[in-house]
Amino acid sequence: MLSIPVYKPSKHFVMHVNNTHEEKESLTKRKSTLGIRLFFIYLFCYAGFVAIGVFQYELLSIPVLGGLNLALAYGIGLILFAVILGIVYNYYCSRYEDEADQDTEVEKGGTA
Amino acid sequence: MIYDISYTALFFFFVFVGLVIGLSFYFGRKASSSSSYYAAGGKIHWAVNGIAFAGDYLSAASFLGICGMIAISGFDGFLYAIGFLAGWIVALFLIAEPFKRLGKFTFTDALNAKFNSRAITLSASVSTLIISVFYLIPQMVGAGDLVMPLLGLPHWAGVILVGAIVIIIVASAGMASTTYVQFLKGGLLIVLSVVLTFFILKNGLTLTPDFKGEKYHSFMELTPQVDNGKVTDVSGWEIVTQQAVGNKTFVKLSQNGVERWFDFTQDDNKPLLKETLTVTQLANGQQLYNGEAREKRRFYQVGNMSKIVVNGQEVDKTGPLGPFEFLSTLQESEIVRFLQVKFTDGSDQVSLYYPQVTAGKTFMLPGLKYKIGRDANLWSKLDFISLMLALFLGTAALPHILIRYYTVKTPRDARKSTILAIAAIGGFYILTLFMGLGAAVNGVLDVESSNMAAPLLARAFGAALFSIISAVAFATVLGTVAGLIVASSGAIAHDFIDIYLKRNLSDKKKVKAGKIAAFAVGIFAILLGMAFKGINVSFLVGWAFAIAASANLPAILFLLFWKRTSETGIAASIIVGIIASLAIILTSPTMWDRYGLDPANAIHQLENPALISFPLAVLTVYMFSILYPKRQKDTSLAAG
Repeated sequence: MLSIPVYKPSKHFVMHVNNTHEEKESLTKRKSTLGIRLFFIYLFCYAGFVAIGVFQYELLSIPVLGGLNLALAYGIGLILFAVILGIVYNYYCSRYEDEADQDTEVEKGGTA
Repeated sequence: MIYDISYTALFFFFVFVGLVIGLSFYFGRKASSSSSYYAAGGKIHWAVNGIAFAGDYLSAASFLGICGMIAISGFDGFLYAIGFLAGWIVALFLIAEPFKRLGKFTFTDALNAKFNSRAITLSASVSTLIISVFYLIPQMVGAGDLVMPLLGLPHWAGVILVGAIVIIIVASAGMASTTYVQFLKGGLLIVLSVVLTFFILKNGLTLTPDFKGEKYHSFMELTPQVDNGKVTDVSGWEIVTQQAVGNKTFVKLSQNGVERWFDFTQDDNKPLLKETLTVTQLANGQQLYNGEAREKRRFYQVGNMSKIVVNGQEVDKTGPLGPFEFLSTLQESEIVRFLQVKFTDGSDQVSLYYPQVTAGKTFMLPGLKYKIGRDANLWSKLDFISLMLALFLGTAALPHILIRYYTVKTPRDARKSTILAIAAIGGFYILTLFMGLGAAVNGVLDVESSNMAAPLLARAFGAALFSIISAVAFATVLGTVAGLIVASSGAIAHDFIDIYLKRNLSDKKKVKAGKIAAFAVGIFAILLGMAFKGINVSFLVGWAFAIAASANLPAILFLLFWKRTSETGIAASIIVGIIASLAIILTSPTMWDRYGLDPANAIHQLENPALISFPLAVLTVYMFSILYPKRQKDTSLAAG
């Protein structure tokens, strides 16, 4: 049959989401605090690059790493730093989740 | 640019495009037969999902546009790579998890999660439509560029071809950008980029980039007689006319009945006439390439080095280089770039490209496109900040980008997928630096469009590599265009007609409305694709990011992080974001050029609107939320 797939996001995307996975509020809070902190760390570095470009342009041409100028080193560095922050975020979030799971088990154990 | 058809390339091209489209249909059909097409996502390994994420994001714009802009403007193209990736930080750290907790997964639904307001539905569907259209333009432009060297067709034919294929696909079966297809495309794009970078480094740098026995065109330099700043005599040539454009002078000479333009320079008091490339539009509509008809093929690919310095010594070629050596050698050397000027000569319209030697040091710094160092003024600095802001905030606000985050079963896997995607995309963006620079110095550039830098570089290394890369890029365009047309026709048919107008259309009528909408959007996209020919696709994507960042992001951030945000605030912020960003784009110098006016006379000199439109939208959501607080009745999602 000829039919156009009418875009129904709610139908398509809600079904598969694991909504049964209820998260404790304390865990949610820990994770979002971490996210916001890491975001500001990255924002600071990113804004630093833009600020150097606008206010201290000459600095960008200084050779820093293996003959590369600051612009290239900083730019490539920002890309690598995003990956590193992502890994850090994942590591701590997973740890928080494990701790929360353990707490739940302890609670369960306590009441049983 | 004038292209030959390569039948080998064509063969591989059709095989690969056929394969990708075939796979899309295969998986699409398989998926639709299961209970839910996205439900399959829950069973997909996080690593596959991560690469698919990269496949979603790395549209042809990234591959064609960034490489092209690096090839033309050096480091400034890399700014896009930096910004596009940084945007993922906003998406991962601020938006993804809270969205998941809202239980809604598209902007329209998430923005409306707490209010169920018609004003929000309307404004969000308008913003989805406009962002999709602005994202469509670069895809269509890229498609037209891709088809030219493959089929030897003009740009407009390529745009129509893509538009027609996509309309047929969307209207007949719907092309599902399934996880596996995106995985394949994303994976191939990254592997091919690694291969291309390997070839570039293995080749090293050379003053004479000849490939396949095809010699790099050596541009003529003539020594004229000069009197009082005017060229008076050139042996063997007849002087036709001299024209000053800005601070440059171009001289039209004639030999054997062919008229050609030369760039007149007087560096160190040594007068020289340097050969240029020109496309002349005659009053009768005929186009001349370097003064001759197309068929004569007197138009060349460009981009070379005029001086290579290794350890303080000038050399002719370097041989294989390591990645760091490649970059640092370029920094010490000199590159010839071709700059464009347009002027009228009698009744003829002349587009002229003249060679300009650029120090590697300058090429490897920001400032050739977005002037922030020498020759900077307030506008150009604001423009640079504006671009970086739009790229940073745009990713998370694109309507389609975060969807895949929710297709993985556990939050842990979703995070791992995203981080793999960031790593893959980041790695790819670092490779674009090498591909772009490789294209700049290997004599493969098409002066008429920067978008083909990477595929044309691949062509220099072999027809097979060229056709595979073109096919992957083309398939990516098809997939992205199909997805965007489906999304925007959905915004019209579902959000607007169904929900906003509350027309309870029967399923049959809804399908019809969707088809008509898809057709209309498709035609519109084709027209825009033709209108924007020749503009770098990353630059165009930058606009889509700016609109997304202005229209969607303030609303969503306030909704997530400020309890007093009201529905009026959200709707007003979206509308203000759209209007402000659109108004600034439509009056920008680039648009002025498109209207046929002098860009220097544009109302303002800001190319990217985010710096003004984003704060304006933030202010709007704040002010309107205070002036029109939300109603007490809060159909909070916490209950659901």
